[in-house]
Amino acid sequence: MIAMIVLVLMLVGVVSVVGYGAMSTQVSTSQLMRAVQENRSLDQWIVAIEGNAAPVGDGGVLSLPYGEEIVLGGSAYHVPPSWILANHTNSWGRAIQYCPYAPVAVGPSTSAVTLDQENEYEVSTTTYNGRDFVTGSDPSPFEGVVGILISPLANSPQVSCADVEFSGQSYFVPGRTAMVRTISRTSIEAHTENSPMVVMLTEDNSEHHTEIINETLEQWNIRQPERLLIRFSDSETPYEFPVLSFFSSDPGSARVIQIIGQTPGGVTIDGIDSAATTLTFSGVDLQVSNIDFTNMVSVDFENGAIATNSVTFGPINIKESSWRFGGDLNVVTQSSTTTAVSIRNVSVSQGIYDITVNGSSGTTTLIDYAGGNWQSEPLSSVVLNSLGSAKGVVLKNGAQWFTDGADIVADDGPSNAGTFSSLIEIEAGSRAHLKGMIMDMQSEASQVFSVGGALVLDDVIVSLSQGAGAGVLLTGEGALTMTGDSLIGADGGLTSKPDKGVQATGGRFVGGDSATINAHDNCWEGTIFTTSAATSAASSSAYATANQSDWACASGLPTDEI
Amino acid sequence: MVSLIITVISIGFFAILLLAGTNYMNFDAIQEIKGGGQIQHGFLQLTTGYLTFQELHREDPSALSDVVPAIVLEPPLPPALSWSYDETYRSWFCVSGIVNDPGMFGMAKARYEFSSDAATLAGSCGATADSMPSIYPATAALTYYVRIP
Repeated sequence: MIAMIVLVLMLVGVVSVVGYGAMSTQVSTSQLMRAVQENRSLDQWIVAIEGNAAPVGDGGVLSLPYGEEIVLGGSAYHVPPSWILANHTNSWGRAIQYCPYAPVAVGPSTSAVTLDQENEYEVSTTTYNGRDFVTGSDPSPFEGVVGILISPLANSPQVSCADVEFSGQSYFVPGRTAMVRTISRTSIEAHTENSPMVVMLTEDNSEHHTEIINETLEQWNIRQPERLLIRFSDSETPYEFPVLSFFSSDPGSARVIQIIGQTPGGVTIDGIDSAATTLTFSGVDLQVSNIDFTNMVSVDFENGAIATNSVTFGPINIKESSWRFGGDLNVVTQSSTTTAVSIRNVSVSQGIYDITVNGSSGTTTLIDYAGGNWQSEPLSSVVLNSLGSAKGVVLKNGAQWFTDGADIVADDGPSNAGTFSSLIEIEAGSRAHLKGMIMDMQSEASQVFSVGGALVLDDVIVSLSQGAGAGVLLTGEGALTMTGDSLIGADGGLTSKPDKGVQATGGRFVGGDSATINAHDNCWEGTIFTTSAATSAASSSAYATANQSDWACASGLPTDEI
Repeated sequence: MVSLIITVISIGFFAILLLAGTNYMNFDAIQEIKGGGQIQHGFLQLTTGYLTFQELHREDPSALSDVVPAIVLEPPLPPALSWSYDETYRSWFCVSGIVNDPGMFGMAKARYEFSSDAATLAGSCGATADSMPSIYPATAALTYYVRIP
């Protein structure tokens, strides 16, 4: 019987061993699963923090988000910002702690990162898209580490980043009472390689603008990032730029450079100490918004795409590119500027926006447009201000300008001293088709149009207030079509109409109907009108086959002979 | 009367079974089964603790105390046996002690639950090959490797 009892007890022992083993296995497996989960959670935190880092550090290096302060057990600690959507407490209910650093020293204005009751360190932050990022800090306690995350284990005492040590293999807190993960500078730099460069220029860092810009250019040339954003805050004083050249090593890759001001009119860019400077861009997609360049800043652009929105340029030279407007454009010049806007083989989509070009005393051409197509939409306008004696728009090398509902205004500047030799000059091979518009000639002009190419005026009113030598000067192989009730001049005083309506010193064709010309002298004159005997006919349709015009002469003489 | 007869036969049959079971039961075998189960479960539990430590701290435990009792409770063992751990070259857990017979409190049985690469039964912990003692009592050590470089 005793043996039986012993046997039963032993069997109970075996069963209990099996039961205990199963239970302990279940418990330890559960702990392992939780550890795996927390490990994954911290990995996700690192990914989230690195993914939310902003390229606002020096040279566009990513900067970690600045966190928030919370109180744990009566002491403040720094935790990740609440705008990062991740589990801010671990599965043991403990808050994830966070200590961000930057590889550069703190700037003039600092914030504190509280580690615990006794420890804190200073950081400089930069606001980007409404969020703060750490762009400078006291040195990180560990070489190459720019961020520390702590996930305390269950029932462990509160620890902080100040407790973290390095074992030579991993980061830990004494007693292993918390999980510790770090964000390395190497990892951030690897992310930076694939991230845009962002440079923030504000009044606060105005003393370092030149340094920052030069550093940005150097980094850009090294990295050639897909996107460079130079963002300006509004400033009372101009930002000063040195001579800069952005040449893409791969023009086909459409690397974007964005130069963005805070509000329209709030940011002015000048040369250093107002000296002349040139910004050169080649092979990039340039986007400029809310920026006013002074007349000392020239922009040379080629082989890319340029988009502007509420921008004032100094003299600008664009070649082999496309130009898209998202707002009004002003151009200002200096006395030595002979051509305010030079465009070569550029497709221009003006949209509904206004282009205003302000010449200076030395400016001989306001817009020199060679090759390409220029499209002006309704509600847009082109305002040309001449302070000297300039050509307004010169179309050449096959350039074509189409307007539909866009107006053109020619002004003579505040002193009323400016004149135009030609408001629009169309060289052989080029063409302008102007439709449904008013040309408001507020300045004196030798001629409104000088046509060696082709000009079509369709429902165009040429309104003069300072008079003109000729409405249209037809030269060489020039062709002129006026139709759609187009009107040159008005039946009023001397300044309301040109001396000659259409003056043909050459020309291969005139045509169109329902146009009316007012002239002080002749409504039309020249060889193309005189091959018919009916030189004094009341209608121009009586002339030669090259003359298919049927225009009315409302005032002046309908003949080439005075 | 029939019921009485059945009752007597049943009592007799049950007594025969008990006496026979007791006589034929090998108590050492039961001890081995129990010890082997404890050792197997112990290794499993410690390995789980080891992996948990790795997940938590991204490195191997440096001492048994990093796992026991920090992460898991110490698994029970037959008397005279104890746990040890080392991570100097290979990481292993070991159960060892002085044993009196080839059964070794279940160590021999537990040994053959693992492959030859995963465990060794020898005279000391950390052995790389099996080496059974020839004279008893002797020190026996069952080493279970959790990391082999």
